[in-house]
Amino acid sequence: MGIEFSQLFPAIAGFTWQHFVMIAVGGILIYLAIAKEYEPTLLLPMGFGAILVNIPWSSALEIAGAHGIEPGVLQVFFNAGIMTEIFPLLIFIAIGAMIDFSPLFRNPFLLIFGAAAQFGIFATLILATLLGYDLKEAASIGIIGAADGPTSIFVSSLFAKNLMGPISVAAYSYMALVPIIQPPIIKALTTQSERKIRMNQFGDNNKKVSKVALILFPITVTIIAGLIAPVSLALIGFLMFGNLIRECGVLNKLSLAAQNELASLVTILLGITIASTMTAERFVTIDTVKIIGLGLIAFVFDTFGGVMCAKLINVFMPKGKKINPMIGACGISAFPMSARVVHTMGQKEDKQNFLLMPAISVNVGGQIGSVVAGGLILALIPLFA
Amino acid sequence: MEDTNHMNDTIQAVVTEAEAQVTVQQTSIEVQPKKKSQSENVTASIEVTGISMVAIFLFMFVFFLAIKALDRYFPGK
Repeated sequence: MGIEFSQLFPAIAGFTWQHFVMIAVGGILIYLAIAKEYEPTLLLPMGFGAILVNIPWSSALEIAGAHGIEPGVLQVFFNAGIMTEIFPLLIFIAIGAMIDFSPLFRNPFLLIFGAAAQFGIFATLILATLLGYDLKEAASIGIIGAADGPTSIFVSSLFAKNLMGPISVAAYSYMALVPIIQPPIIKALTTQSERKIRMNQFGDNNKKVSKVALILFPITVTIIAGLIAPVSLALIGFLMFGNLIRECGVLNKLSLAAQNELASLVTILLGITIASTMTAERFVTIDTVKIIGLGLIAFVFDTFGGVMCAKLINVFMPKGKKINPMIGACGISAFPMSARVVHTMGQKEDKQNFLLMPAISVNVGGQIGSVVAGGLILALIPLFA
Repeated sequence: MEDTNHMNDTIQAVVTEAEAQVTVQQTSIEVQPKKKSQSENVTASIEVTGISMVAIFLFMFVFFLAIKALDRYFPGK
């Protein structure tokens, strides 16, 4: 007949061990999403997408059309949603609608830990350049330490599209693994007596916060951030826009839609679209291993930065006013996992130690801190690269 | 004679245009940013780290002041 096997079954003929590895990676992501419930909204679409794009000749990536090779549906989504930054920014509206800033109004001093715990981003940035990555790639890897998936995707979509797959996988996986990553580091950095410090004296956890103040806060933050670093406005502005929808009180339907339907729909599209970068040729490389390792280091240094900042403040605090240094670790954006972890650790040492409220305040500060850090990276890296 | 002059003018114009294109190409090659060495990247990353960490603390301080001001002028009831 003259028809070769490779023509009849091109996918089977083109299948390599790298494709097999990537399908296994997809399977692991799906397993983690379903069995362990690690960030299922994102890891499940990414896992399935990884399988979808690692079958040779997948029409999800490219189609042989009348005018030659044309982009497949995932490529179209990538060009329309990621290259234009639309998907991550829509997610920011949804996240903004989910954030309640009132804990910050009760303990505004705790914002300081939202800054200190961004240290991991920059420690990793330096490490990545030492490993040979250029500044833009290193910044994209470092931003995993923001513990904020959309910020990682946003920055890497601008600076290192080629590394977006492993960066997203690392960012979302480590966010889900916060309860496993943070406790041993916190324990190593604190003494038992420090972990027993109570924070009842700190702030007023029952204070009522004015509705007007909560409405004006996102507008104020947007204006301040915009005036200082206009390049960060897309990132911070969309987050604060989502929050304004939540707090204004007249758009409850929109607020709920942003928190639920918008978040779910865009997350599905984001996950499966990012998976289009997880092809065997791009993903089965030594870079992926390095990025996964550097991402873990970023989370370790985040925790280190927050805890050590609290310990430093305690040096200047009088007895009875000291801060439990564990809450410094909540200055990352992984909300509310990080606050829960610290509260649980506090209760293990002392059943009457309730750290949840101050920990939540720090965690909310971390959400602002991570977006500010992302904005600063967007502003500064092009000046130095 | 007029035809020859016209041809010379045309040739001159084509040559000038070609030279201009070469100049543009050379200029665009010169504009290409030089790839930084690893040590330059490391130095730049340390500078970015220093500036960013200071800037994040400053941002947070400004947000702290904003919260204090909002809380003062619009106290919760």
